[in-house]
Amino acid sequence: MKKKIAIISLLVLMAGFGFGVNRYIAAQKRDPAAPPTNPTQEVPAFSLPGTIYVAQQGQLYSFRAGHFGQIAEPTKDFDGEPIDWQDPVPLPNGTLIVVKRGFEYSDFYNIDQTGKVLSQMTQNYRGNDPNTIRSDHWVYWPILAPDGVTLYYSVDSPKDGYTYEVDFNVWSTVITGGPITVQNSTPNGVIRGTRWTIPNYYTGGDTDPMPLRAGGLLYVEYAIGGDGKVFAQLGLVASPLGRTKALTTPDQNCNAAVLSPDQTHVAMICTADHQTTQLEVATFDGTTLGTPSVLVSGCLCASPQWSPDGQSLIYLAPPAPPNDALGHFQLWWLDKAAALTHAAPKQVTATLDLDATSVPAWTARTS
Amino acid sequence: MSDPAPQRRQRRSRSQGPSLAKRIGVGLLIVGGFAASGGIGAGIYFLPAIKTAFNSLGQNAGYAPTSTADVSAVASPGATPAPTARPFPSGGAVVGADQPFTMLLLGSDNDTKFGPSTGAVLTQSMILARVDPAAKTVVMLSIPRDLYVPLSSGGTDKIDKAYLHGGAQAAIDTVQNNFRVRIDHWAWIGLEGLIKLIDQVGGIDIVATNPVIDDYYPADLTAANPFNFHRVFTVPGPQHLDGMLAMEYVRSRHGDLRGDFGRSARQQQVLLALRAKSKLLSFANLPDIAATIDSEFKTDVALTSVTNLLPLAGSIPLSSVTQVVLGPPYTSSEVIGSQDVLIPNWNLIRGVVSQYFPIS
Repeated sequence: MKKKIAIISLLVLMAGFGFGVNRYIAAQKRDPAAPPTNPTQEVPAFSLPGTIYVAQQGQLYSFRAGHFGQIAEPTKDFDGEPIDWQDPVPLPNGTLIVVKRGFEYSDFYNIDQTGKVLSQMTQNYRGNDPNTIRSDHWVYWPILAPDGVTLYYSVDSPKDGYTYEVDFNVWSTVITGGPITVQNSTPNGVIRGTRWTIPNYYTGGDTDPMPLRAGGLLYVEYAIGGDGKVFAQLGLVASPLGRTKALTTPDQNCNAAVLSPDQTHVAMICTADHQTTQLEVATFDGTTLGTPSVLVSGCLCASPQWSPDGQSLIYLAPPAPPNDALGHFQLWWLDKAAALTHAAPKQVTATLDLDATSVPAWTARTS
Repeated sequence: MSDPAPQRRQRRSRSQGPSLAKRIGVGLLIVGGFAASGGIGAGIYFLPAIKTAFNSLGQNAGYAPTSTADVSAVASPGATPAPTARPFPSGGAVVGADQPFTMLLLGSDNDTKFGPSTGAVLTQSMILARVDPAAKTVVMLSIPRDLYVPLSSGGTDKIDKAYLHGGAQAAIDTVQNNFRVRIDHWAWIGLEGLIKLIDQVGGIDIVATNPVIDDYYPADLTAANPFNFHRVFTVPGPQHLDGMLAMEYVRSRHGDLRGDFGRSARQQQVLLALRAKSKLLSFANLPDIAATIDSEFKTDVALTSVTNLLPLAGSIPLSSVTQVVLGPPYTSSEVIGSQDVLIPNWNLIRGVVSQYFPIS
């Protein structure tokens, strides 16, 4: 009897051991697809003044007084495809212009702080509503000029519907306050704003417009060099469709540029080679860039944005391994970004996965 | 009086003798039982990987090449003479060992556009990769899919049709014959397999080089009609891409002045991003990956070598990866028949190949 009990016990132990080995191996499995934390559940390392707007998984969030709050949720289009919110731009009246991206198109919307849509500013398809900008399919990088009434953006228009060439052009359009309406639209489906640039064809075109207070425009143009490599370059154009002056070299390969509020510095992301980027800042005197300072290198730094006082920068990047095994983009803050001796970057969030191509916005408003 | 001690020793030794052997036997049985139990536990865990190993890994390329006598005769007008070397036997260096090895990476669409779904498809992507584990270097050379070359299966056509006409072995032979390179191993992955693989590793992080826009991107994976198309757009800059978005980034070509060359560069970029992600995986992730890509992946690499590849991929720094795309002047565009093709300049191409893919 004792023997039987011993044998049965041993068999049970063996089975348990086998199960244990199975579970031990399973425990060694890593989960690179682990979902990020919802920003509203995130405990940021510290607070930053004013309000910062970011996007994660197509949803918009505000970061204010040390807490994230949700603004707008993604929806579905008529085909059931998800529509994402991104690229928030705060307006003086407290509302936001945002890009709403669908399966095959994007549009600008004006929303309030609760995510309520006040108006649809662009129309993907060529309808007859006179109060919307008639765009073609993709419209991105909205930015309000210092005059407060002129909206600059990039759009894949004009284009022939039967060509493979689809490149972004920079345009500007005057908008009015309150519920935003657009002037100068025409029923023929082509934007009647002001076209500023003619892109290098079959490159993706011109992006990231930065209207200058003194007139003129800074923007990012894409080109293909003699070696067959595509590169990004900061360009300056004094007037619509004027001659572009390159402010960076093809080797620097800089894009995602943002002007400081006083327009004396440019922050940009430069990709010298391979798959890492660096965050750089250069002085800007209205016509030329100074020698750039590299603030952060060897990172996947993306989408920088200046603080309202122009003293510091925020940007998005995954922490360097092994601190981040998942490659999730977090919010970083870098103080004294324009100074000769800038501070070390500080990580604000730890468990999010912010949309790296959605440029954060930072306003002094707290309501 | 007799001394009782020897008797006690004798009794003890008599009683201990069989008992010890029995105990050892029982002990071995128990240890063996635990080992077997542990093995079964591990076996159950790795069952999907083992199943895939049978289905996908260690494959023979599965095609007996025809005579290569005609391979040296490049029929295309204007082309520089093709190399006249005979094919090199493929299959040699062991993946993951210290010896350098050359691998042909093949990527295909897997829809039924080109006939019944029999696996006979074009290879939209052909990348020759040379890995030197000791030096920790990698060279990736993208072969343009429109390259007009003699096929090992006969005739002259675009190189992407080699796989269509004769599977992996025909693709290997065609590349070997024309590029004068020895291919040790090969791997093939279908479009859906790549999407699933990228999703399985949690997506990839890349720096998109420019706005990649395509109004005529094939909707063969999303629409009922494989000839449909839809608009896609990848925003430039660093970002996280899931499988479908990564596929759009590497497959789009209509909006790129460089056409297939631009696409080739992006394909290499995504492969490097996948390599970076492999650092995040452990051997325990193999079953999930195997179950995910199952029928969408084939290779002649043995399962044991695959486990060597994971740490190897993670140990090679990005700065030690050389990327080569055979744009002009290595190739020139021409129309032959009704096809847009690329005519190879073998003198230039052979220089690059002999530099990066030495035949040892």
